[in-house]
Amino acid sequence: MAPETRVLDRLVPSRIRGRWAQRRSGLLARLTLMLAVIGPGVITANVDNDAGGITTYTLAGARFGYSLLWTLLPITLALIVIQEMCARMGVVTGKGLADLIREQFGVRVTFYIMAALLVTNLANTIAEFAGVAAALEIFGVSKYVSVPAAALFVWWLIVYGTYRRVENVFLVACLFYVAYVVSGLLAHPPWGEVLVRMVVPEFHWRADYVVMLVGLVGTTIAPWMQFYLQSAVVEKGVRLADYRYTWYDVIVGCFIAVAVAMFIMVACAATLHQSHIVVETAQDAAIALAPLAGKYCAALFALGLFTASLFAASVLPLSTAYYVCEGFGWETGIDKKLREAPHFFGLYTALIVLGGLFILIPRFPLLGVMYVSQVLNGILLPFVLIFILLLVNRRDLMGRYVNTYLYNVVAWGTSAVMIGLTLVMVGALLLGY
Amino acid sequence: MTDSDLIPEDDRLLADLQHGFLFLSSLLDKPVHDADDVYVGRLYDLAVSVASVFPPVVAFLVERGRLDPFPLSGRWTDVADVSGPIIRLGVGMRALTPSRLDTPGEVLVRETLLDKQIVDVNGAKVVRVNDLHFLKLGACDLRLVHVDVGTRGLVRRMGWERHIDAVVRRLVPRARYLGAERLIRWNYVQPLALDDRAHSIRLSVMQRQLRELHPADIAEILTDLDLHDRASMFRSLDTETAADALAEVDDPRIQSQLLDTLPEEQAADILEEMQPDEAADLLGELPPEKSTALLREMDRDEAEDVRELLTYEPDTAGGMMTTDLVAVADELTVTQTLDRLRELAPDIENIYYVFVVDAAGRLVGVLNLRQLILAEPSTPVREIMIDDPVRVHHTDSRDSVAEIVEKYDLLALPVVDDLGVLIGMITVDDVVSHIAKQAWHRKLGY
Repeated sequence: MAPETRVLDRLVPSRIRGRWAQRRSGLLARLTLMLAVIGPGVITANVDNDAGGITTYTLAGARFGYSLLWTLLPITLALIVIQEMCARMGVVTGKGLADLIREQFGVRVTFYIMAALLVTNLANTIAEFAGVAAALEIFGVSKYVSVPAAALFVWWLIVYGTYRRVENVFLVACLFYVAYVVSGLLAHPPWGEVLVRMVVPEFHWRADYVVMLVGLVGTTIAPWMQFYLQSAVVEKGVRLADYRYTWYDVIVGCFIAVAVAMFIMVACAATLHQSHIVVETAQDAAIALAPLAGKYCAALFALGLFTASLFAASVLPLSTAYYVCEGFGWETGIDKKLREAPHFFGLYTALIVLGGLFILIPRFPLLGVMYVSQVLNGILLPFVLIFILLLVNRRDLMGRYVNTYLYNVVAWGTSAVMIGLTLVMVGALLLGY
Repeated sequence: MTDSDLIPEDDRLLADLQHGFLFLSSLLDKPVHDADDVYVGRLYDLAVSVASVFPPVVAFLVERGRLDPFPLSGRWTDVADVSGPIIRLGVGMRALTPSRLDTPGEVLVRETLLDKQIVDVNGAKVVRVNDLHFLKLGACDLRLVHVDVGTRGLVRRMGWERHIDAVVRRLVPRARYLGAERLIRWNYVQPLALDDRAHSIRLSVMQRQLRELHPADIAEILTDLDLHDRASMFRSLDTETAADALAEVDDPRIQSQLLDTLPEEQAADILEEMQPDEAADLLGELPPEKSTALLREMDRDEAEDVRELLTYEPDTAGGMMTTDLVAVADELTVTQTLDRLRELAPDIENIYYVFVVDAAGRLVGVLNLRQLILAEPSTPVREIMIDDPVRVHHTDSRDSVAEIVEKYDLLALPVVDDLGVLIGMITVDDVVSHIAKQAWHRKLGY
């Protein structure tokens, strides 16, 4: 080493104070890096437990007791595999999912996928506003007031760019799910039975059971989540060398999502199912929190449902507008002017306005739409998954980061099972089982 | 409506002289028959030679069946007719070879352009290609002249052009949609997905145009691109352009990412080219090992300046200042000062203020350029300078700096240490960008 360089080396630690001193080495530095990379997976998981999610898990527990618990383990496996593929694709290619589908499969395929996604996501947006309406109805606020106000608020959040500031508020609000954990524990479910039914599969040849199964998968592994996660990973600019932190992030997110699902189902099975309550309104669903909150359960439930719905309602229309525009090559970005990105703002506004308008239809079944939107997710999932799989296995895109054999088995298996379930569901509904 | 109605004025002249235009989408997937009218397959892709200003089509690929992975390729000169519903070859099927094209400088348009992102150098934007527009000279001579990035191109690709046109014409006869193709001339197109060889050929043409863009425009293009394209475009810039563009990129994460894509030596060259305060800001964002390595790679004097600046907290006057300034001793005359200024000016951003220091380096006064030019050449600067000018201490906060600059309407503000020694100055542009950023961050809610 040249003497000059050595002098400089010695100079660095003593002279470079200030901003360098803030950068710690060793464990702390690694932790900082981890916190910087962590995020997309955990955030995605929490957005995923939205109005549709809470409703679907509640209905699953209330109607079918513990008999759907076994699905959670395979769903966790599929969720991890699918989310990991998208995160990996984001890091390796540096491109969003819509971007890749357009570049590799052309305009037609992009158009049909985007059209299907737009319809499904509109249904999901309606579900989020339904969540807002249902939650505030518990407090006696009419939906004709709450929904327009929520729609305006969400629109304002993004257009005036305050979203990032409230994102953390939303994330903190996700602690609401802890209420289900506590409530589930206080309800003293038969833990032995719960454990057994977590691992022993059962199947009922009834249309409503199959529909619920599709809805459960659809809400936990929502198609739009995959687009959202991949874009978020790309946005973060995660480097291949730091990929394992993203991997942890995705895994942690998946476990959070499924753990919440499990506790909601257990809490509902131990309360609602136990006392044969048919859940028709949010008021009924709130009874699952009674072991924890007693007579305040309705207020607690309403608060949780409200923040979860509002969180998802601010993310969902925005991300939908983003990747539809990405696929078609239209200008995007909240920092653009309306004239610069008309498609983007048009789509975004249309989703919010339409989503809100549906709810304003008198006697609109709020809980019903939250549930049905998740079944739609489940139907669309295998098709999106097929394209994800075709992309992630291409060596010219992914190099040596293509899927391993085991991954392909799990993911193709998930697609096949979901297509099979959808066919069984349609058949059963047509035959009227 | 004929094709030529849709074409910008200057191209219409060309079109009148010749035979018109056609779109790639009208050719792709057309059946291909050989000279004996035997069906060969469907047209899959065209290759153009990018060495020309408007690249001619030189070869083609025919896909034999959906599941057949090996397309046939042939030279474009073997094609006899492209205007009918089928593409007719002038040779037998045996003249085609079952191989991929691998000629340097020839680019497959479907693979590298269609549906991909390009940089529109003229509009300084990143856009997606919906279709390609060829000029047809004679029977089969096709030249790539435009890329289509408009919504009509999308509709055409879906195969709905006729129907949608009919509907739109009925509903909104004057719709802008009907008249306006969004075509970008090929000479303003910078493709991103080219392989290395084709890339270098194309690049020599493009670099000149890129250099003419404002650095802020280049920065915006870089920000709009995805990770890999961003890196490859940044690598293709020359050092000076790269330094200017890098300084204009707003997002510190993207800045450090870009610097990361270069070999250390090149990254160091770019840092040397930047203003020391900008370089320091950038280095402050990098992990310590990386910035130490880069500093070691940099020219010694430049590195020393940057290192100095790095010792200050980013949100203080010290963190905002630059060391590029003109300071003269108080015993100099006006002539001597002007000589010194002439000598230093080429390397210094802001020469409108000359700071006067005493033997110990303490700030004692300031002169502006106007005073210097109007003064008697032999006057000592001590006599005409403004004594005891407004200054800030290097630990003063950003906000107080902004306040002072605003209050006194200054172009540059000197920064001193505990002993009153002049250590740098803050130029008004750094303050303005701070104020703007603050307003911006408030908007984004950071």
